[in-house]
Amino acid sequence: MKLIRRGALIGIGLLFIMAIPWFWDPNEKPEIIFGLPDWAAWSLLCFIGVAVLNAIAWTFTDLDGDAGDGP
Amino acid sequence: MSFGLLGTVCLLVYLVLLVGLAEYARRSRKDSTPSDHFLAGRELGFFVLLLTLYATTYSGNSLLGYPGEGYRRGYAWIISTGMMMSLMVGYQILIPKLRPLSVRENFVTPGDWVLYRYGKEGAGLVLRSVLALLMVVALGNYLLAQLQAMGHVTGQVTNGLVPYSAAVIGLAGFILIYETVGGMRAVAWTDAVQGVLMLLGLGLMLYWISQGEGFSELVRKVGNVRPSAIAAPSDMQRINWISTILLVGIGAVMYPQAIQRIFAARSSASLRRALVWMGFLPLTTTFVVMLLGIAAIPRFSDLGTLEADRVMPMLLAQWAATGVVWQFFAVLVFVAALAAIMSTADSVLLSLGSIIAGDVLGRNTADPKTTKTGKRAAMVVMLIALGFALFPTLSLWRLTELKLEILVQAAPAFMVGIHWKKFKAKGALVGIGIGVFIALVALVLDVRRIWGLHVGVVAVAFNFAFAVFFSCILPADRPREETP
Repeated sequence: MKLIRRGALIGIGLLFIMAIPWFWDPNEKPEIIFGLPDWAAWSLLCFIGVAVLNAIAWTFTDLDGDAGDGP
Repeated sequence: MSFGLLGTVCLLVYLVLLVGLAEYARRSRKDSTPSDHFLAGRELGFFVLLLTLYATTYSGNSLLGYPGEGYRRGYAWIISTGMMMSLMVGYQILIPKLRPLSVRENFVTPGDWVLYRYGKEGAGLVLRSVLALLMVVALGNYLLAQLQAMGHVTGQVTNGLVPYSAAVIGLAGFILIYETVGGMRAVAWTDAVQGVLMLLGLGLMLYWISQGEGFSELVRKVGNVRPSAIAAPSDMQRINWISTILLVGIGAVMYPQAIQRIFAARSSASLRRALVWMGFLPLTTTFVVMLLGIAAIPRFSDLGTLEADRVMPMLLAQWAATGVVWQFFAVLVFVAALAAIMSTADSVLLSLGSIIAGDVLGRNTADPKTTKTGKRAAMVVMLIALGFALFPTLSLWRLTELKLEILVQAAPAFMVGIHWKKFKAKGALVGIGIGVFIALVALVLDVRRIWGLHVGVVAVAFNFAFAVFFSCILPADRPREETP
């Protein structure tokens, strides 16, 4: 359970980094994909991935765990 | 029926519905304890919890400020979808530890956790007051943004029948009444109605802008009018993307009104399901709102900074002019936008009341008298915010940035403190002092970015570094008192 959650969180971090259009030239006219400039479509795809991994991460998050004394 | 008259009638129907809900909430209350008033007796189930979290998180900024920002920045504003998702990731750091503690210790305000974690005397007490003040200042700013947005939308929905100042004053009074009467129950239930209206309204708007030429043609048209709006972000903008994700992912997690909804959840299962669904809502909200702002670029050229915040109402007015049915839908979207704004304003106000009563004035959050103090505090805050709202000078997005830059300084005390045992109240206080100092100096000098990063992000990095360093070298805080 913890392993899946950790994996999902690492995946989310990677997707956030990938969502930034590093490899597109701002001076070049973009192609249009799915009604968006190509770089924006790429970012959107990454954000959809984040939403899916977020759902997985929360599904495997224990919110009833023993609180103990806190940290 | 004219647009203004139809808008006024729909607005009145909506307000009557809210009054009915507030009265029902008042009758449903079990006692007058702060827990019942500020947290709805900790009985929020999945559906209401999801919609109240949604309506509270997405506000006037989302419905008016974000289209304005979409208009100003073009497709680069797609980062708004990512930044709202980063909020859910930020919650992953806080909620898994905070939620079980809040159930066991019956926390009402964020300050209750601070006292539990850092001790009820000395530095712990000071830290609670400092964090509460940060939250009050940031939330006051947030409330101001909502009041401004309410004024703009009402002016448009009634086609000028209700002027800006009358709308701001009237609706603020309205919120104050139903929040005071029904507490969190009224706020959460009205949020649920408002959340549904928002989703419906945005769906209708998306349908409208997709009619005719379609989204590919929209990209071409925008590119012809303003090529920079479809261009990939520059290096500096990419840094700004990272900064925005960090600012929201760390800062917005500190929204006390959201933290209190975590306390108010009926069960962990309800909370978990709500958080799963919340992750998808940026795709149906911020992404749609960005498209609306972009759709305005070819329609209205050369709007100024403050004028751009009105692109949503301007689009709706244009939509309404295309036929009677569309006029009704446009009014519906207007009311949805107003609902979004009011739902955030009422949540912020309720939270402010509880924080001022419990954390600033130090009243016992188990004592019914604290509820009354909180209601009075909310009234005073609303009056002060009204004074500022009548003379708007900043864009809605700028107000949001300012709020986050202040609020983010509270993050190390919560996010590090909840995980690291050796993190000390004194260290946290030093960090906050440094962070707030940097943010204030930047505000005075009107510096908004440092190397492309938001000032708040740079400030919180220093805040974090100093807090950790001083936690390592300072003597231990007083030991925490045992809970009964």
